[in-house]
Amino acid sequence: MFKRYLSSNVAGVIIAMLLASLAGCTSEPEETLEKKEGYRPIYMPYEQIRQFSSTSPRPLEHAGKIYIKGNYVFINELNKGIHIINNQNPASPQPVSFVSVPGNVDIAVKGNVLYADNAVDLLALDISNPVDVKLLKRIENAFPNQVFPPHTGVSFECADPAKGVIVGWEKVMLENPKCYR
Amino acid sequence: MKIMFKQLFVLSQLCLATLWLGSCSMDSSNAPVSPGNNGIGGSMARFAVVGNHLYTVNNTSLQIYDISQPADPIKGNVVKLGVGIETIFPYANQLFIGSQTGMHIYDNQNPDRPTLVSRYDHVQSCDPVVVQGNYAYVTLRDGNTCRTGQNLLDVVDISNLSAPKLVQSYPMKHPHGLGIDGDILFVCEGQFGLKVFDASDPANLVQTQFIPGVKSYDVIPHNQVLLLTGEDGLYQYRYTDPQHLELLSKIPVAVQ
Repeated sequence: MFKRYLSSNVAGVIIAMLLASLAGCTSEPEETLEKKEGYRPIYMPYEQIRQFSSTSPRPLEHAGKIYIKGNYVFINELNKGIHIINNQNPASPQPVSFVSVPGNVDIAVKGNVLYADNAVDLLALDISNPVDVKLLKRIENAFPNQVFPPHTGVSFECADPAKGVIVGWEKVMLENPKCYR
Repeated sequence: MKIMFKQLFVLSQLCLATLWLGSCSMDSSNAPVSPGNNGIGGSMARFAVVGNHLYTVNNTSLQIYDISQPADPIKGNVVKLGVGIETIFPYANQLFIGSQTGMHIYDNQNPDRPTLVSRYDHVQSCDPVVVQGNYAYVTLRDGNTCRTGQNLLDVVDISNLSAPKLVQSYPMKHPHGLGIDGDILFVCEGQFGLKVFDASDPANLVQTQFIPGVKSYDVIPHNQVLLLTGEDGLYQYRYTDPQHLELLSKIPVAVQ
């Protein structure tokens, strides 16, 4: 009985280790001063990420996801915020305002409340007056920090979430990169 | 009077019928963003509002929020989904999750605890999904972050939710988001353009139009107007005639 428990426990640990290696960091064998191409995280400090403002309309640059609510259309400006458009007449859509939300990609609406990701946080925004959107609630760290680059078979500088939110990865020459994916 | 009531009834039924799509077109025109109904997201969405719940998916899991007080979302359960999760599409009592390995169907009758009904697996690709009636439409795309996939549109019979079955696979160029309204299916082909299909027979889709100039990422068909986003901005088309989409407007991206 004890033995069986032990062996299943060992199996569990092995599976956990396998999963951990799949999920991100695996240490590479130590070598002395090895320079190789890899990825380095680009951080944005939390205080910079956690800024919110409702402003006048601004031009579209990188249109992301779209969302319809009544006569309004919401367009994500990739990683920057949300364009609010009055679409009562689809032949002549009228930009109403821009909501600046760093790291924003996704949006959804219930009633007068717009939910938006603000990098790692989730925001609830009052859109009852679309020209003056107000922050109702912030849920910190609702989403995981992206701790590995969006590529496989690459070396990278291990991420340190204490430094801020990872907003991108740059390709550089790294000295003894400790992480591999 | 009687007739008016009847018309009102019909109108309200119509509104109810379109409720699952989100908003009812009776929204008063000058009002601010109308309270009441939920909105409509596209096929690439990672957020979905269903009744009193907000669902968000990340790479590995589904997070549930109680939004019975919309201004005060409360973090609820987490459901582990696997790896490579990309999109969520709510339909009827189900949540359809698009992942890099396939489509997962979750039963959502207990909205706080969705449970896995089945999985439809395929080669590794990026793949949003939309659902209508007994069919799910899944696009599979290759690319850097999408592993070694293929470029396909799969039509999957989900009349038996616990045993989804491939009906037909259609070759595509580089499909992204998609949308369906009645018999009209729209598929974004990324840099290649937009494709429109007659989907009255899902086993035999017939392409009715291909608009090559439009770089398309995601679409939402609603009330005879197709919203389309892509590299060049927001396009709106009337699709009353699926052979000849009528461009209504375009909000272009700023010249950089």
